[in-house]
Amino acid sequence: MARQRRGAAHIELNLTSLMDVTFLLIVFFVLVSNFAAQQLPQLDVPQPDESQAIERNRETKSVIVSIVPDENDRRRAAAVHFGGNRIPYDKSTIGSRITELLAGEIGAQLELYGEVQVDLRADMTLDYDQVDPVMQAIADVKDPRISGINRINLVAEIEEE
Amino acid sequence: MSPEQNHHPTTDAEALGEVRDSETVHHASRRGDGDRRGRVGQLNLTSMMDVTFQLLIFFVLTAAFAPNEGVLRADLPTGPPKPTPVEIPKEPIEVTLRRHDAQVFIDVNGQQVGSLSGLYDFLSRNNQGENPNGIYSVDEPVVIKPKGDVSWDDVFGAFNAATRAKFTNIAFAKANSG
Repeated sequence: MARQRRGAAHIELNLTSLMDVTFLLIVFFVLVSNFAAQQLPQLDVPQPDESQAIERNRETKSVIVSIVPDENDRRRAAAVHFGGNRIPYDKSTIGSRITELLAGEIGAQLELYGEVQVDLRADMTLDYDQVDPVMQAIADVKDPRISGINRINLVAEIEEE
Repeated sequence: MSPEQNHHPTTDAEALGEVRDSETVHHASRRGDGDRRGRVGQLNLTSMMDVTFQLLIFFVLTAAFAPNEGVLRADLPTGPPKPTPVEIPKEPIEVTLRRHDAQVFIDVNGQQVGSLSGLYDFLSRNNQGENPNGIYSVDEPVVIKPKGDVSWDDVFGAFNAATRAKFTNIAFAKANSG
């Protein structure tokens, strides 16, 4: 009987080192996971040869406008996303809707940070006539604190070293 | 007084025996005395491991690595650029993009340059900043005029080619479907 009891005690594992490794893994994933990136809709930005695109300036706050393609016809846009807004792509109304909602978004950012930039993130498969109205709409945004938006950042893949 | 209450167990082992006899479920007291003394100061990590693994699985599944994206600054299509009062307005370099059978064809001021790499070759060859015999200065306005059915990837490719050829003043024209 005594022998059996001692045998049962011997089976127990020392979990301490396992815990150490597991905590290291947790710390790694906590640090590298980018929650902000998750809010961006999934799309393929242009991948030009010899891309001249540079790292985003993280000092300046930016409003990221994403144009998501239609699942069935990727040359057509399905919706435009920015901030918490998702605007279904309807050619006749999209321009005015973007100008209206983006003005609010930009106003809020100006209120908080004093300056703002707009990043245009469009899927590479879209036709230019789908992207162009969005650019026009961004250009039409008026805010008394800024003279108007005439420059934006176009988002593309960065050249791999 | 009942006889059970009168009886005082003399050893721990006897006491344990009594617990067993009374059919009380008492997990902690099942083990021997020596065992208990050897395990003093050792934590049971199993439940902590459970929670830790849950956390690990959560972070493994939700980890979204930062996408490999960068930006290029661009002028918006807001009509023709305003002429400066002193300088004679420059004739812009018009880069026209057409699509034919999923391929893009590019003209610069009416001259065919072929593909995107052809556009880069043409622009860098004719840019005075790159080549002293070039016909265009670096701040010459470049206007990219894509037809409506050209893909955004090709439009951006043309913009990228002009940037790569060191032109500093690049803009987009409105989409024309003709």
